[in-house]
Amino acid sequence: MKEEMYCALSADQQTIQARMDRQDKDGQGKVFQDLASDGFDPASLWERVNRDMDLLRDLVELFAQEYPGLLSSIRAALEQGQFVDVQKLSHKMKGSALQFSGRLVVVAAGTLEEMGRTESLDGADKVMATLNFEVLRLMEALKMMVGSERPVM
Amino acid sequence: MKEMATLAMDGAQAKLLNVLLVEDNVIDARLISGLLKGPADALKCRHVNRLAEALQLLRAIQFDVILLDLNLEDSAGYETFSRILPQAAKAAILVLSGSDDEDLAIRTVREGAQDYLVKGSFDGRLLLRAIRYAFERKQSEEALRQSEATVRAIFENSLDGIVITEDRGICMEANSAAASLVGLSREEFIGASLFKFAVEGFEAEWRSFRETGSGRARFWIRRHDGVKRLADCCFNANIMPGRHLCVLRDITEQQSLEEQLGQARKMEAVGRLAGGVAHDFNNILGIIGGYAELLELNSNDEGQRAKAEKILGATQKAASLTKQLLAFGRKQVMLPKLLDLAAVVAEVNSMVTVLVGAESQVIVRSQPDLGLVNADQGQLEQVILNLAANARDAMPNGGTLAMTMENYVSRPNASEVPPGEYVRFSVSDTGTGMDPEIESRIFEPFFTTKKSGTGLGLATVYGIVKQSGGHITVHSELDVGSTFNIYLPLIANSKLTPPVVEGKKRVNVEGSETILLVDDEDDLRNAAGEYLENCGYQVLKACNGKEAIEISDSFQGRIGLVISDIVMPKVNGRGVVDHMRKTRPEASILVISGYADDAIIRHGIFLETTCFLQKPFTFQMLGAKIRSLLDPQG
Repeated sequence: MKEEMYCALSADQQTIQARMDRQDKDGQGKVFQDLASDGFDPASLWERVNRDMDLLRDLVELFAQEYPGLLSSIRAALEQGQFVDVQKLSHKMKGSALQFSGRLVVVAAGTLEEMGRTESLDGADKVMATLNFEVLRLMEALKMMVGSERPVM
Repeated sequence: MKEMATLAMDGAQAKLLNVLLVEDNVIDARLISGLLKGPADALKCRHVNRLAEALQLLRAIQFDVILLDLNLEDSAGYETFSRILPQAAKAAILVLSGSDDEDLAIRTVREGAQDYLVKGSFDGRLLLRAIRYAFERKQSEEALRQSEATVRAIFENSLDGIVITEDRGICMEANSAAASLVGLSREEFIGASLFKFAVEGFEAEWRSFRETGSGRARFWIRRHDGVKRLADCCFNANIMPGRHLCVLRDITEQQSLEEQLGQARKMEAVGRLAGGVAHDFNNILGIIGGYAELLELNSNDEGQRAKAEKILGATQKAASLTKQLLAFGRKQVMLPKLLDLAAVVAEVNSMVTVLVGAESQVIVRSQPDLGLVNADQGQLEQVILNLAANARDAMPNGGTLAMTMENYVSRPNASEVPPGEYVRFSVSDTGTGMDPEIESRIFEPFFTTKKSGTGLGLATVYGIVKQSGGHITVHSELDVGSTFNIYLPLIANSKLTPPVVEGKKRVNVEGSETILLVDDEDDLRNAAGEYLENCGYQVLKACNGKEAIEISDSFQGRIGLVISDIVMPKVNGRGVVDHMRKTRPEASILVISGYADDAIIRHGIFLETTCFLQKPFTFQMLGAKIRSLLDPQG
């Protein structure tokens, strides 16, 4: 994945923010389709969890608990140049993101994982920033998804 | 959800699967656990996040399916799989792989896992299906493995030889029995051609089997060491493309036994024939002897009486020979008893003389105070005749056969038999003799130097001697002759009381009772009837059982004795006896026959309750028997 693709995401960030504002205003009746983006596929996630909202909520809760620590650990590993940890922790983030159909998180985490594997951390800071952003974006989308009572596909 | 429910319901109707999930990612674990928890609870899922925990659990619990993430906290990559595989031999393993380690997942499938799933690419339905299919695939693999193990065990342990060949008859696989049949090791046999071992006719059979697809044939095999064996072969062509099955059974011994059985059956038939001929012969002898006796009794001419006596003597000799022939062919249970060996030899001497032929001389010598032995007379007679036959075969141009009996004491270290007292019976001939190699094998079953021999004659002799507690040795010299020495344990020194010989002593045979005489042989009936009437009896004569019953029923007076033949037309002796016992219980009954006593038993007449007189008999014997039945006992 080329570096410039991550810089182009700032516009999307504004879109998400707008949506989040709308959510705060509305509170309910979310449309999963609206949540779909280049970084998130709610439809496949919904099928993956067998349209079980309780299961989805549990998973999202688990991710919400997990991701801050994971991001911080990856950051620390990068700062310390711990290639193996970079690889391992990024792999873990990638795996979780896969389950949530968070494509861009998968891409960013995968890039860091490869960097750790090849022991080449050039540009890792930028990728880390992207990872951070995309994880937050994904998290918000997931919260919106589990916040709706009756999902409409 | 409906589809998931259906799959789960299918699962419920099938086996409840015990699933172990080995996954350290909490989200992955929660997702999979959540997906597996269906409405019908077709699966029971247990979760661990470390390999060590999984291995510990596997030692205690049998799981049906293991969902295995290869990258765990305490193990990574292929090592995770290779460590869990031995502990989970009976469980299906489904590897959960990341999208970038699919190659590794494929490797695990090649090495023993049933399937793999890429995380993020399966939903609940696919997961359930994958689990169920992995389990079934494992069951099939296990069943196939067991089936192969069973087939292999049968193949290896079969007593029949099993060979798999290719099209030209080259052995591709063989079991131990097949290799043993051709006298090679398995390794040596594989790669060799069946044609190399088949003696003749195999090539044509092979072509035929290839064309027809299957078949069965017998053919001779020449082993690697040159020995020939007869094999019964069953062929099945193309059990797989280019592979043919041959099942070989060594039937060499079986065929030998079949030949002997055939021979024994022939002998049995000959025995039956001999019995039939003897019956007719006895009847004829009875007639000759009967009229000779009448001549002797009724003639006043000394010369005529002397001639009649000669005729009588000749009939008695002929009767003795017939009796010996019947005894040899008779099949009955024999029992050992105290015997004078000299008497046994005398009993069969005439047969031995006939057996060795007119060109040979038979000499019999016996020690005067010969001891007694405990043996079965019939078996000893067989020994004598077998040895005589053997001597005859060794003297094709005639010679001398000497049979000697003497008491013998064997001393320790000085004899060829263990120490003890014996009666030694020696049979010597002046025949061709045997070389040491043949001499050493002479008692082996089926060993013979004759083209038509069964090889059982001397083996039988050996068996009988051993059964009687004795020993047998042989000494032979080429072109001089052979001597067989039989040592039977000496049981007693006292002589047996000689049997009373009837015939020459004249007893009072006159009487006045009424006798019913039944025999279908007209001349014998008439001669016996004339004799009895001359003795003063009133004789009622009948030519068969039916006539006898009619005469008895219509006769008003008392019948003192019924003399009846056994084998007769219309009503046989049994019928006569039964009728008389019912209607004239006071009458004594005497049955006469030219058959041996086992034939009489077959006709249902029991000798324990009925008197019997074997034909041919002299009229004196008949008269004495009649008086013994009619005179008051005591």
